Amino acid sequence: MNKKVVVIGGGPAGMAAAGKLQYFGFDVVLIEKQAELGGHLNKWYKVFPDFTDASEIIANLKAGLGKTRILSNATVTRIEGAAPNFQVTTSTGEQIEAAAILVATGFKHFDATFKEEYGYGIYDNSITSVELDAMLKAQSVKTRAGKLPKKVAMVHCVGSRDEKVNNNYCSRVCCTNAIKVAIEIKELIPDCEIYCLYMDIRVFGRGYEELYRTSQEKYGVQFIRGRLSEAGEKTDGSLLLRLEDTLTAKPMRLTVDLLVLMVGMEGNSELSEVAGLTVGCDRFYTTANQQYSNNASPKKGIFLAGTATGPKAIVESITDGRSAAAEIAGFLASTAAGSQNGQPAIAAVAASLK
Amino acid sequence: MAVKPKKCFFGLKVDRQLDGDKMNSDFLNKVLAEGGDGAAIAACMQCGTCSGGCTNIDLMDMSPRTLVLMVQRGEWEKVLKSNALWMCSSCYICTSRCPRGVRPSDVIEAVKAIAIREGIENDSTRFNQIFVELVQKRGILFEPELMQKYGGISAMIEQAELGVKLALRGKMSPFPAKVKDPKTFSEALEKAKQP
Repeated sequence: MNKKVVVIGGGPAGMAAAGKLQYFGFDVVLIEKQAELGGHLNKWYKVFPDFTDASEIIANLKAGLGKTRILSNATVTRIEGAAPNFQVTTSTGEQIEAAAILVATGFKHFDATFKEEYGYGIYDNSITSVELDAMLKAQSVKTRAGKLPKKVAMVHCVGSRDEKVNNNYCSRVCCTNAIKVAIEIKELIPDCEIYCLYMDIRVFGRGYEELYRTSQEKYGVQFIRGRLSEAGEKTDGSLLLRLEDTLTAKPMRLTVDLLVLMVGMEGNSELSEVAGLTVGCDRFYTTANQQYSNNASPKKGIFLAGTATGPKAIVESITDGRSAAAEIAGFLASTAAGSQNGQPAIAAVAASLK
Repeated sequence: MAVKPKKCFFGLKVDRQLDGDKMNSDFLNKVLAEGGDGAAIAACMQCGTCSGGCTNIDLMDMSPRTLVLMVQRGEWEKVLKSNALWMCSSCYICTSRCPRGVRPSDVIEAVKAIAIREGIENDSTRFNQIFVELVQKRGILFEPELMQKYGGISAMIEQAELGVKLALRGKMSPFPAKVKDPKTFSEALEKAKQP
């Protein structure tokens, strides 16, 4: 029996899945586009809600990879055949026989220049959350002029919940991330005032709400309910924000030294043609069933994990990757047992894994 | 005493827009120092449970939720002018129901203390002042006297019918009541005043 599984994408979901699959006894090939494994985790400094170092998570997942064969600087250019006999061709010219394929190609950040009214790419002090995390990694949050900011505004839902940029969904992680970085800025610059401009605070995970409360009680982060409508630059480089404070139902003007746009996630559908995958109206990959088959694609033998199927936090991506690993193990066991209805003979499974 | 919108030339309203740059934590710190330190004002998430259950909300020009928000933002003028401070009956429903441990009743108490120290004068403060003075004098309240001091002769005449009815049913004595031991009472009051 062919026990080879190809995992495409070396982010948290792909690494977590590859680690478990090789532990189950499969030959795993992990294909990563970049030179380094880790995906977006490489950009982050610390991760909410407990401020774990992103590097610690990468190190832990890498350590679990075991015998996995890693193909970095490579993409998948062609997938032929059908389950359980796929032929995967990579950009490096290699042909790999695979019984199952896991697509864990993640997401792309929303390009903030589409929200022209927020001035990203036009005004010096309008930055994205990705750039802010790089500043936090360097432990130096400064305006473009090199000064410490006295006032910082975080704009939630940039590129999310917005029909005008064709993203109607919520990116799920930006609220908690905004709160996390607000705390980190406060720790770096204690007298800096921070305003979070939100529509709803969507902090749903374990420890997230507590983080929200801590940011208010311990760090004095201010929350203003209203979506930023526009930003304009003043002569001194600070930005004048125009929004409505919907809690008092009055328009508000607010000057800040630094404007941080919490950019959302967009589906990465680069593989849709190669793998024959479809996307939903949110441009994330469609799964076989959103409720009970969320790791299987409609195409037999091709599985999905992580943010490829919609926005997820780090912990959710890791869990989702491992869940996909279990799905793949089950699928391969059922094909090995020659069972068509998904009822594998236990002994045959055990034997095939030896 | 509702807050009237400020008007400029030709009736243009000048407070239509909020100036976010004036936000500061000075007032918040002042209220915390005044005994609101257990009030967890910063933890407020603006859910409105307090205002929803407030027993006197119909009479207030600013809901308890808004009042806490104004304290957070340093809008002390709006808060001190608000009648919510004086319409609050300290029933503590807001405080007992708050999901974040904010104590709006305590916030209002603390703000009231600041307002009185800053010399605010209105019917409520005058009433409270007279009430306290009379209790200090006799040890127990004599309602007709309170009526006379607060509302004058006209108020007494207006309320005379009700007063007679109450007296006839034995609900209110036409003569001032006394506490058993006025000396001990005034001593206790003096002691309580000491810091």
